[in-house]
Amino acid sequence: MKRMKQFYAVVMAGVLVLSATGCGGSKTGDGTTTPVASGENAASTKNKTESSMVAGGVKTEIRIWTKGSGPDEGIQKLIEAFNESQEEVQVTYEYYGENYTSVVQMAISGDSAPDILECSGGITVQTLAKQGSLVPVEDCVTDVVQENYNQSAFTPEEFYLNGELYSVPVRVSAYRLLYNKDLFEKAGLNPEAPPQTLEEMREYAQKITEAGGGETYGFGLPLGVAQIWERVIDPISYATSDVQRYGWNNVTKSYDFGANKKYFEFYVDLMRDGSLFPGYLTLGIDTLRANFAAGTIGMYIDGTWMPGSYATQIDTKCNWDAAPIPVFAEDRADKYWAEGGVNWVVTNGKNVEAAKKFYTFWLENQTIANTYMPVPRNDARANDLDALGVEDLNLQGVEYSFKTDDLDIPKFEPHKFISLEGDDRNTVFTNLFAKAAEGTDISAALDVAVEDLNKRYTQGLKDAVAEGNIAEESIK
Amino acid sequence: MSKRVNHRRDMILLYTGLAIVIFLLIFPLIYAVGGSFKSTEEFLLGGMKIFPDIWHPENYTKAWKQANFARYTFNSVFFAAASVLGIIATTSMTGYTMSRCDFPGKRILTGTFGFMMFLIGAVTLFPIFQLCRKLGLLDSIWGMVITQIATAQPFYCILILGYCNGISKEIDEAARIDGASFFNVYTTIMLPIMKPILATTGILAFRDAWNNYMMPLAFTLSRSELRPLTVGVVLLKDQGDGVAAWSTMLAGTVMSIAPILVVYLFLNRYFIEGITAGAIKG
Amino acid sequence: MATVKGNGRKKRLWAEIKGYRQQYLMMTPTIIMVMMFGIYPLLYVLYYSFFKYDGFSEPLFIGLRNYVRLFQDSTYWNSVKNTLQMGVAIPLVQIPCSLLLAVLLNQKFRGQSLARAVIFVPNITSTAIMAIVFYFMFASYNGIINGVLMKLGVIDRAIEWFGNGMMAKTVIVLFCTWSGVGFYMVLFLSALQSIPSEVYESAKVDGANKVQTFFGITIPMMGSMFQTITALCIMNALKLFDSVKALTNGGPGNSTEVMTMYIYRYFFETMGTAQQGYASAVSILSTILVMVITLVYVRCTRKMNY
Repeated sequence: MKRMKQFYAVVMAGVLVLSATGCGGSKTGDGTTTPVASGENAASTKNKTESSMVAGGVKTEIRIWTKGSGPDEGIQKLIEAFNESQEEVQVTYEYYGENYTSVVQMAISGDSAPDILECSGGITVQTLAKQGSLVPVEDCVTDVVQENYNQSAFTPEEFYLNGELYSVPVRVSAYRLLYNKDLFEKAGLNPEAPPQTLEEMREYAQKITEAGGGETYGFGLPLGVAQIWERVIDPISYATSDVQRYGWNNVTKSYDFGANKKYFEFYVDLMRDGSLFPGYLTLGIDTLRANFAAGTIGMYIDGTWMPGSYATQIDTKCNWDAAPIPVFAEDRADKYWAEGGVNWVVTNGKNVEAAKKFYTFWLENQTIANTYMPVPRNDARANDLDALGVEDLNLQGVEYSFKTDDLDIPKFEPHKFISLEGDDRNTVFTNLFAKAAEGTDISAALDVAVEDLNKRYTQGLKDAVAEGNIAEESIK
Repeated sequence: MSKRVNHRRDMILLYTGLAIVIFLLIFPLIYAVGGSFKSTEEFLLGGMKIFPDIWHPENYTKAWKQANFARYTFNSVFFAAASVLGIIATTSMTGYTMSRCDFPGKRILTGTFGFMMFLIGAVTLFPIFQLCRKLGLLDSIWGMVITQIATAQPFYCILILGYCNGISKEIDEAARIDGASFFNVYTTIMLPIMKPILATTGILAFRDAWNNYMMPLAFTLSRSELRPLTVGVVLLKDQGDGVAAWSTMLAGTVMSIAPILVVYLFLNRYFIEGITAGAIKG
Repeated sequence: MATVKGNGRKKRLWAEIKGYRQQYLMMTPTIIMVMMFGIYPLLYVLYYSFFKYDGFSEPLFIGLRNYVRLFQDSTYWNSVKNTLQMGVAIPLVQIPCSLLLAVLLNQKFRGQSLARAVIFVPNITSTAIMAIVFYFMFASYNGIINGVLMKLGVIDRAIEWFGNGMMAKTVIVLFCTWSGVGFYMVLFLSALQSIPSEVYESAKVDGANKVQTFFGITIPMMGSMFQTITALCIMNALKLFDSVKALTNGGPGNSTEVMTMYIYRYFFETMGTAQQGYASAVSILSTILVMVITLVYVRCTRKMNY
């Protein structure tokens, strides 16, 4: 009994003490308001403290949110450069990984949206612009930008609403085949000759798996990544036929998922050969990359932004390179699919002018970012290999990752504007793959699924046009 | 004679069985601790080693700094403690009242409790979030605290209701005859008697609040300074360099389990006593 | 005539309410919270289930179309099937295990309280986090579970634990048992305490052995408690979320996707597309299903109430 009383007393006392001391410190505006939890490294926090203490005058704080798994050196250094170049506007940035979509959704409905945010992971420029949450950024596209930027950065319709430009992507992102040169050698293959056709790739995968004796495997297919089929089917389809991403045939202006079939079946064959890295049904991208870096996977498909990560952020132990994704021997590869990446938008908040000032700086100074985080960018000056610091960083896979002349950014992709009823193409395919992995013959089911996908996507397209989400002209 | 041999044999079986069970139960925790000292790549690559060759205690300092662990721990403690106190206060009053009185609307209340226990968290999360936003509760920990207290009402009210039903009404009546009001009977007489079930409620509610993930996640997505440990630790995964920082997350996990483990081991005896003092009744 | 009677009843009701003034006051916090956090969300979800809504634009009224779509949605019914399987499999494993442990630990022996304490430890850890640990332990490439099993010679090739629906569900059941056995053991312990020891004494005198005692006395005498604890276990199994999300995220394919995850996916993971209305309809139906199942169970086991 007495112990009970003591217990309660202790708890009450503890709570009182903690609330007295703790609550005081959390909300005082002492200038460095960005919580450490956002993960900025100690250096930039210190910089911020110094500059904000020096400024003293009226200072506008701009907040930026990006989607990322970790602090991006490139962005940080660019922000530092901006902050140091003048004192009226100070910028801080936070990154959110998997939960980015929910974070933004909550923030916008909770009126606590940042001044600049990245449109990615399901958040589209169009949706936000329609809501009135954004301001156009035409005036941030200065002459410097116009001259040096890849023109297709400005073409995609999705960055415009009623003729006004709301976002300029600074990166060019595409998918390439990444392969491990050491494993090629071990399997008796020429490490400088990556597979040119899918048939070759299948053969090579088998050879690598055999030579590995259970320790290494030929191909990595991370089905734990929901959008995996975007990476392993769509780029190939785009390069060899009129069928672009998500089954959209850009010439007949209709849905044709049948074109995906032969690629899907190709991967099922890879699986049946036993060449896939185990656990593929739930394999996540992190585990895949860690294993590739450790040298246990022969080939896999990943984005052109990865060389920077492999050089700076992951402990990479193997020699690897990037190559164009192979196509079937009977096909000819034209231009591969790419998208403008990292599109930032300026929100309609209190600090529009200050935000725009930074936005212009951001567009004009991508070279700074590339010195620390090398990825292919729309700004041609930034892609200059000499500027990338290749030697110090042990940057691999550079040649094809920074090659942009075999890439094409589509003008319009309808699937982004459709509200689909039922599972999307990725879920359907992954489920079918799981069935195939159990040994069942899925050819009939695949045909049925393709028919069903065509029907539902077409219906979704009709609805979207009827509801005004897609303009008729876009699909003529 | 054979009885004693039998007994000995039984004891050996018992101890062996228990040892195996306990090993199976503790092993994942040991694995987690081992993993927290590995580098992320080493952890992802798996392997037979539970403990790494090269120890990386910096995972802990990283987790502490990056996750602002001091802040998160404080949030968790405050959130859990405040919830527990609120839950004990409110549910004991309601549970006691429902046990003793047959007031108009009692059936409705009981029915509502029963119904609310079926509600899936994911279902009500979004509307509750909107509600708290409108009430301005999102800007402090109190939003989460109040939500936690509110959603705990059905289960604990029924728990306490059951317990009070097992306490003879004569005690109440004796006090009422002496002139005590209903509320006085509650505070001076019932509360001390209810201690075991209150302790049980306290510990279970503390555990629920401490480990709650979905609700605090939704509430603190854009307010990192309010996050409790569960959310902060899982989000550590997203703060690695390039690859998700699983090891840092594990280090954070170990650090976040420690406090509740201490609380639990310390209060374990009261807890078991509380539960076994006839807590669960129909 | 009628009005006089009616007035009288009303007056009595009012008097009753006034008489319970203190009581109502004491219950006020609970009642307010229940209304705001229980009734209101339900009405909100019910309301939006008739609309096409994306969370911030204007909702579009579409009547029953969400429900029609729901009944034809094979993915949803697949998740219902998965949920039901969990609702049966998990209690089927957890209840016997925890009951057995409770009976064993109900005897007095050295280390009894230590054993009880340790067995409960997994339950106080966070399921969201430990599920992730289990995911890595059961990994098919280089996972430690496979490694140990191979070393012991139990298997000669690594098992793909997440290779198909059945296996993945097995891992989920294993994890839930690991996490929950301590909790249910403690509940059973308390139930066992209510059986007076004289009953056991007389059974021993009558020459009953352990097994007979267990089935003939222990279980029947626990009666309604057994039913309550099992009902609780079933309900929690039906509402599973954290563990499944962290362990398999519905995979492989959607063979482990349970109703809660389906709802969560449509509410929180379909940003930009107007699926909130549909998610609301799914929520309503799922809640009704959970209720029906639990009530059916309670009905069927009513005869356990002595």
